[in-house]
Amino acid sequence: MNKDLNQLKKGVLQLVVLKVLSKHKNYGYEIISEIDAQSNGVFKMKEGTLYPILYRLEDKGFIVSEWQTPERREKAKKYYAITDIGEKKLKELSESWSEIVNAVSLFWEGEEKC
Amino acid sequence: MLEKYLRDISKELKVSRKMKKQVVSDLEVHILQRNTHGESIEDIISEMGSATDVANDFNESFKEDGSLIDSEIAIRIAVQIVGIALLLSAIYNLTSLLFPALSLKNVLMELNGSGNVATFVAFKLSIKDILVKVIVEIILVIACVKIACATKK
Repeated sequence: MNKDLNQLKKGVLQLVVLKVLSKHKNYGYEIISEIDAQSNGVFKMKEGTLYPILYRLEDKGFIVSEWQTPERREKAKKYYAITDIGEKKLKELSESWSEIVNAVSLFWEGEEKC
Repeated sequence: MLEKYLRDISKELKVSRKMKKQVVSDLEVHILQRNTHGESIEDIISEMGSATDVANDFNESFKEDGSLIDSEIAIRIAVQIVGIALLLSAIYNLTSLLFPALSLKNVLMELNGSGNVATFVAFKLSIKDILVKVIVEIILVIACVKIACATKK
């Protein structure tokens, strides 16, 4: 069951990461925390899942990264921000996702009518 | 403790050296960020799992991408084949130089009996030419080894 859920989640993680970054630029740790909190723990991402997604999105030009050094003694943070192409991609993915959700829900609606 | 953990993860990653560096750098910053939010390094590492588990997560995700790793493997194999061919050529030329009796030309002459091997040997190389050829081939072999090592997983 967990394996099935993981397969389903993997497909939408790219969409979720882009959605989080569309609100504001963010760094790895905060991205994981925000996704975890907003999904009520359903999308509890591991580092080994998040960073390859970020690298992939960056390779495709959907996001950009930049190092920022805080004024205090804190370590530098690597911030990720969505690009214009990323915004377009997010819109496309969101529309595709809505279509899938609507199409899948039709099966259950049909079942209820029967 | 953190350094050893990151080093162990790096060892288990099946990606290019460049990607290993990026992963280790991002993980170090990630762990230190969690640390500044109040978690101890020990707790973070314990929660993240063993170095093998973390590396396996990355390897699984990178495997889904595949393209970068596959192209690097293809380049490495191509470079290795060229390197081996050059090495064999250099060994042959050096052997011909040191033991002329073993050179292809002389072997063919022996087989023919007549000594007419014009159809097989288009032009004659001087000792100087062969030496230059051997040196160039050895330099190219070294270059191939360096490229193959640089792209090594």
